[in-house]
Amino acid sequence: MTAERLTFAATTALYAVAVCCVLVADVQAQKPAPPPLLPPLVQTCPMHPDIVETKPGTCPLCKMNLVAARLDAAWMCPLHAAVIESAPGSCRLCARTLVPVTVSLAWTCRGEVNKEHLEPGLCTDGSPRITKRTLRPHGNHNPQHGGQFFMAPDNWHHLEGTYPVAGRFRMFVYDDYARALNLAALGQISGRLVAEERYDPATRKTTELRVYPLRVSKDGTYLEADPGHRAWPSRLTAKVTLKKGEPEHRFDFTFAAATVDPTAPAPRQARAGRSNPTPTRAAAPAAPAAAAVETPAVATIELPPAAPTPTTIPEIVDAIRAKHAEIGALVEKGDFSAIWVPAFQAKDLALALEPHLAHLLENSRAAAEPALFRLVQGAWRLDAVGDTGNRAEVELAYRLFGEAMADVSAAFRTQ
Amino acid sequence: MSAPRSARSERMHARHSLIVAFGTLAAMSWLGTGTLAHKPITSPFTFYEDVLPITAIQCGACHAPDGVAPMSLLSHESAVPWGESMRLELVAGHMPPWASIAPQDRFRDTRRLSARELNVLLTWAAGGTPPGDAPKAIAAEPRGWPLGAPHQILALPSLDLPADVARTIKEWVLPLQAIAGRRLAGVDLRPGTASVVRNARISTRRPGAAGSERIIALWVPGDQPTLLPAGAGWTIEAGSELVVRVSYRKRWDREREPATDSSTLGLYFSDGAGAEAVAMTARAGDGGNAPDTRTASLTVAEPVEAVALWPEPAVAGATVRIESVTPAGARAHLATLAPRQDWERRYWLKQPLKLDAGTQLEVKATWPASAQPPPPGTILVGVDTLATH
Repeated sequence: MTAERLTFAATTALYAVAVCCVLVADVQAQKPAPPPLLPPLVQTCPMHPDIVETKPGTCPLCKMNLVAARLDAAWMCPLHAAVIESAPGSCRLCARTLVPVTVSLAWTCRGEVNKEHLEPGLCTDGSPRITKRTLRPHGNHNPQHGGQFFMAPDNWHHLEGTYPVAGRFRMFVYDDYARALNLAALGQISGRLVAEERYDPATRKTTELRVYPLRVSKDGTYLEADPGHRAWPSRLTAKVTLKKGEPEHRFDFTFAAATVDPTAPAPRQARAGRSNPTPTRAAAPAAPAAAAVETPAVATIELPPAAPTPTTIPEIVDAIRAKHAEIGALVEKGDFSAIWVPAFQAKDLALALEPHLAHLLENSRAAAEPALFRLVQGAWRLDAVGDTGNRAEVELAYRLFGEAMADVSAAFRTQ
Repeated sequence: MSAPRSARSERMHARHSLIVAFGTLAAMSWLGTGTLAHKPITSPFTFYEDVLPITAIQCGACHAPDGVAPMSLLSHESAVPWGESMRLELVAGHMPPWASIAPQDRFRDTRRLSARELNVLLTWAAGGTPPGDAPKAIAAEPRGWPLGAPHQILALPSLDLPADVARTIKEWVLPLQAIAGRRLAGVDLRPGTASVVRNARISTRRPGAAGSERIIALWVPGDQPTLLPAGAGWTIEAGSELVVRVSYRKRWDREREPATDSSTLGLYFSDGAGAEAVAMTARAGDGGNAPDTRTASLTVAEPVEAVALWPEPAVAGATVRIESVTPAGARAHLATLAPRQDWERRYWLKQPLKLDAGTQLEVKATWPASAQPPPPGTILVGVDTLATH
């Protein structure tokens, strides 16, 4: 289970706990529940939804007048995009766990769905307006097929790599709304899958040893390659040119086990044998088929026990080290898009150390101040590179973060 | 330039929405209130309350309405379109422009944000760039002479940049015979048109005398000018001239407009008979280097105090590590720098560093795979020293 899912699961569980607490509190107080607050109004561009302002004005890109909108967090079915709910839960159509997304919130009436209102209320026929939630660009960064989800450096394309059976790689490509590209758009993408490569520091050149072209699948919904399978975890690099003439981008995928697509029919035992396809160039034997199909996409949720909030310098430093270890584990298993969670937690811990600088001796303080800066910067850097899926950049960011953490630890422990 | 309010901001909205929801719900469980907060603008920091107090001090020297930087960070309106660029530059460590990586407490007048300041700027830039409730622009203070009135002011020739010329480099040569024999403690530059003067290399030389160039100042916008320690100086030899190499470049939003600059130099003389400043330079070796690396070393001939060092333009883009090795073999890390192109400056040590005769300074510059290191023989780093005997 990815950390992102764990976070989501934790959020879901806490939500449930919180709602229960609220209900209990309200019942105890015997007060009517107040109406829910609406998200505040913001101003967006009709042509460039990336533009979000707090005050009316014109779009800095196209100079069109901004229009009012309400942005909100919502939960969407990974399979049925039409199912967008206001709270965590399960899809009403397929019972799959909803995933968090960002939406714009509006209200409409039957027969005039294109006329949107920014407040709930009554329609002309006296019926209540219908809540309408529309996905925002980059509002959905959830894998849709159980794989690893990255955002391309062009900030528009999104890619999801899956490994449905040992030795077979699929890459789904989406737009900024996480909508799958059609066949025509997919056909413009060229790339290859590199299963093994070697970097020579003497010549500063990388030699690709096992390379497989990425081809459009027969049904035209994804790109695929059959690299064969050697061992778990399986590390595969997609080198992709998203548009002719543009630079090539690198996406590093790590699969600890075969991917189980939540949108696919439930795996049947009879299909287990297909997890061991004939490798095209693989020399090593494939992993046991049973291991591939027995790994569930979403494991049983086990929330970690709530850790006490660290307050003393040693406690905070230890907590940062623990977060560093968490990040390291995510890097190791290639779960880059989940790195931002412990990275930001470490950042907040580092900021909690700043008031303690005054308690340090001058020499320690002189070393601690820049180290704290580097730690905070490192956390933001990890957040930034984690989305892109480039292992080299992630590992570099992690190394710099670790160096800063070591310096912070040393400075605060020599006081 | 990235699009304003980019996809990044939206993604941060999504993330922070979850964080906010998480925190809000947790708080609700404690407080028992029945409300649910929504927060599409996720940054708790606003421009006028939180960001401006930082940018006015840390960035305002250049990022002012008529400054040399491509945008002003002194008003919400001018800063917002550059929020994503701010995030990229800050995360990459490009801004504020300060090349010293470690140890960061080695040098004077560091241009560095605190951890809290960095977090405020990044959270604001990535979290919706809210303006805040008390909008008021802070005008940048005009730059006078930070070191006080100079002993002598020299005017550089006026330069016209026509509408079709966006950038140029000029080398102005000024005679110094009127002050021959005096000793310079430093030189500052005051730009006439701040938005076009990018950097300046100010040195003295004797025409025809090879190797006579001495770098007096490396000026970049917003820098704190510095003088040699009291009593020390560069003696102006007879026949010397002042060479001022200035890089002019118009701002992107004024590239098609004609511009004129009339900058001035402020000369500060040393009032004592202290040590003469002598520069030592380390040139790249001609063998044994990896393709991405150049090494250089210099040996201290007599006891000196190092007071400053500067990376040469040739090492822009590289990571430069400088170590000292005493005659007894004791090795110490002096500095690691990551200099950037067009930000050539001198780094003044907080405390002069005593170097015994026979001490070696070793320089190792490493370039990323995409860059080509300079040829052997190129000066990588210079060190300003004062004789101690």
